[in-house]
Amino acid sequence: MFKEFETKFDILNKTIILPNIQEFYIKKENIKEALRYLKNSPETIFSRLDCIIAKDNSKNFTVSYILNSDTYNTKCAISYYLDYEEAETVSISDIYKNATWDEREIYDLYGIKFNNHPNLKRILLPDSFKGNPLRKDYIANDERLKWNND
Amino acid sequence: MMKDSNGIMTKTSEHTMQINVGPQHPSTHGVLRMLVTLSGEQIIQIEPIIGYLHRGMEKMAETRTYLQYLPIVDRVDYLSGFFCSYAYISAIENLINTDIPIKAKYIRTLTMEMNRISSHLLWLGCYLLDLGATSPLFYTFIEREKILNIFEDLTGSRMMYNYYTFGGVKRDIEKELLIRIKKFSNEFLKAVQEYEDLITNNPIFITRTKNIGILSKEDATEYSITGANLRACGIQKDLRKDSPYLIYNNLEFSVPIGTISDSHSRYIMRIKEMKESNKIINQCTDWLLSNIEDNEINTKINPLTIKPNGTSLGEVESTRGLLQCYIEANGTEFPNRIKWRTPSFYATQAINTIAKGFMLPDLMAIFGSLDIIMPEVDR
Amino acid sequence: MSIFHLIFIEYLLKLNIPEWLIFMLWQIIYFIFISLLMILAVLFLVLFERKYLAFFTRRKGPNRVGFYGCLQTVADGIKILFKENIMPKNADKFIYFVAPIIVFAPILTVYSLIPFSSDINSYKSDIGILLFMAILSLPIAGILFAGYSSGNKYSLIGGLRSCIQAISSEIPIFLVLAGIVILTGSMNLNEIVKAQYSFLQWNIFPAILGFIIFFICSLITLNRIPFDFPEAESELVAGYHCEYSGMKFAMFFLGEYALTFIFSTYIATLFLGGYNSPLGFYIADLFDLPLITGELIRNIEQFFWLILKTFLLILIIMWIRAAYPRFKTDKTLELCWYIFIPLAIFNLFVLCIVQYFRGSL
Repeated sequence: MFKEFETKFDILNKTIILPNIQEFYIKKENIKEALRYLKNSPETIFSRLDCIIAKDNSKNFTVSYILNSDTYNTKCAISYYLDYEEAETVSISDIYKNATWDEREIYDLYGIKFNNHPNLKRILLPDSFKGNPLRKDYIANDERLKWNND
Repeated sequence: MMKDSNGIMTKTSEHTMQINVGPQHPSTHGVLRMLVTLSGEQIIQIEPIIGYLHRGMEKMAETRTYLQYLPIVDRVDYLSGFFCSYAYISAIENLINTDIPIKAKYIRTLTMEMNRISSHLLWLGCYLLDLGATSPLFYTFIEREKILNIFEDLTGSRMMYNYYTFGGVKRDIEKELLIRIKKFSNEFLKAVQEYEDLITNNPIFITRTKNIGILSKEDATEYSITGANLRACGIQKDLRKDSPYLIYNNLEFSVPIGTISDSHSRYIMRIKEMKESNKIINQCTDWLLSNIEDNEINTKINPLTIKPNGTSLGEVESTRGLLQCYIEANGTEFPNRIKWRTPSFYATQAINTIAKGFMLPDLMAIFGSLDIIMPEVDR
Repeated sequence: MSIFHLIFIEYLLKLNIPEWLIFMLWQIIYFIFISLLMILAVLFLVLFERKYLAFFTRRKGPNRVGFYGCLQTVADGIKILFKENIMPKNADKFIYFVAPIIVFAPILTVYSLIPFSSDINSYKSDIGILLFMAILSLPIAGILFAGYSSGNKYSLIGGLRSCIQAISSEIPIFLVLAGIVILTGSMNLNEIVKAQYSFLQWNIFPAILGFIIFFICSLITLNRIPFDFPEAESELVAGYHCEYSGMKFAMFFLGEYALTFIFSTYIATLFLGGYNSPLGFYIADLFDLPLITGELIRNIEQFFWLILKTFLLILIIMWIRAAYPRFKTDKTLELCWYIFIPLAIFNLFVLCIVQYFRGSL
């Protein structure tokens, strides 16, 4: 199923998300083409995006897209690493509409910027909140939490 | 010209009014806020604003061990706590590679399906309340009360159960309770018939819901909408059938499917789903009653010492759709990352697409029919 | 002039009270009667509705204050009296203040038009049937004022909705009223009741279609479920009275129930023979009673029959509330303009034919 995909894009790493979801690490630049390919190619038809997961690995971020295929009844995950300092990537909201809020959520909680996003602003936390709480360097009860007082 | 939540520009005339529906509003089911632009009473666009119930579930996981996080999990969706528990626990069971005893599987299925019914009953009552009918709320609560009483006797709690544990369930189910469940499931069919008599063919209900809030197949896929909302479009997608977990393979039940996903067919889907769940409950109780002397409900794992490693995705077809719990474990007693994928989050996102162009009273009919619950959206 | 009025004048003349004062005192007695009736009706109706809905939903309803909760409305009333009066910052203050009065006063006024028995009728107007509806179009203005002046968008929508539905529901109502006038040959409510002297003469039998139209349109006028759009709580929070509190809110609330009561009496008067006994005779007439006692008992009996008929109608109105969800504004307009107006004209036509043949008999 993924043979052509693997030849077409550079697969940096291949792992398994338990119980049985294949996870492909690809280059950050390829993400848009990869998703577009997976969505439209008749071999895969990953017509829906279940969710976008961001992780903080203390030195870099991982962004994973869990894709779901109605036709073949399978799931797969496409992931890439993102530098800590850069924290900027491209929005896929023109490929999967539901990515819009997922990306806003990641922007809110991790501070990762998504370029070309139609409406990138905080979603779960108030606009005046300081910091990005799911980053590992975010320390609770520091002065950034005093946003509520002003 | 103005931007909507997805940044799409829509042309508006000068005669528009912005109205703030929520966060304190009788029919936003909690604390959803919708910024609705109206022309007369016609909805031009809706911008849902969420986050008023954000509790930082995912942040909380970082400082808690797997066992400490377990009771919090029920609060992700307080109306169907068993599903959230199951999603979390199945993810961890994948990681530590345990197989749970067959009786525990049956008990889990039984409780989850009962939970589905209780959640749907609350939805049904509240939905009719949104449409202005007060009585159905009380009728549905009569049946819901019976389920909650059974849950109370089984788990000790009415809504936040904390009943599943790694490798099984915490307490065995007793024979009297099974007989009570059996009695309930027999009475329940009559109750559903009563709701249908009252609601389904009610001319006002039909005018309010038929052809209101049509969700196309394409939009449903694009917005990753799952559960009854999706199945009403005519897409057969139910995790219980697609990749059966627990003992759904051994059970006889069908997944109801509609043709056009309007508010009315979404209502029909949920009514039918309740009947199917009732069938599953019947089968589970039958099995449990015939295997009453089987005492193995738990594989003995010490939950304090689990230090899994790897990534895992726990999935469950919850009341509102596909619920996923993603866990990245790093070999310590604390998880590195827990992510909840909740169905209501995506349904809320699609509300602008669904409700645009309808009238203000239809907004409640549409919003209610999507079965959105706010703690699940905000986590 | 009724026998009681004559006795009253005679008695007071003996006390050397000037005639103009006697006339005024007689009206004051009516006023007290009407006010008491309204207050009692409202107190009872609120409690009755809660108990009745509780019965529908298998609850007990209010059962703490008084015997089986019979003083619950009184307790609520006292509580609401002590509530703080809050006025929104951007309210149009004068209109905001005046709106509840505009809603409440006309409702109290129309109580004087209804013949509660052959002798209890404070104002026997020759155009009573029209005057009733004319006065009752004023509260709609009050609701619109309340909606506009609150400075709240929900209230504004509520007020506008009330206006829309009043415009659409009043045309079928007046078309049905025209049919009643044709049947009874009078616009005087007293005459209309007298024309329905026996059970078979009730206007409901020839005008059953008109009755149904009138009843549904009166639900629209009364803002009752399924037509309670101006205050649709799941859409507009509380609609036009969103920003009202304390006594001002109570005026809207009481006004609504007082209107429900008096409108039901109005329907009973027009269609169900008013205060006439459905049995065809009065118990007072069976016995050989002295004139005054007989008249008194007869009046009480007539009053009882009217209240009974009224409560039957109210029972149906509340039953509908328990059973149905809310309709939609645009669908209501369609209902009124596309269905009720043609049907009401048809009803008028039928009644003309009925009256033609009745006249020839």
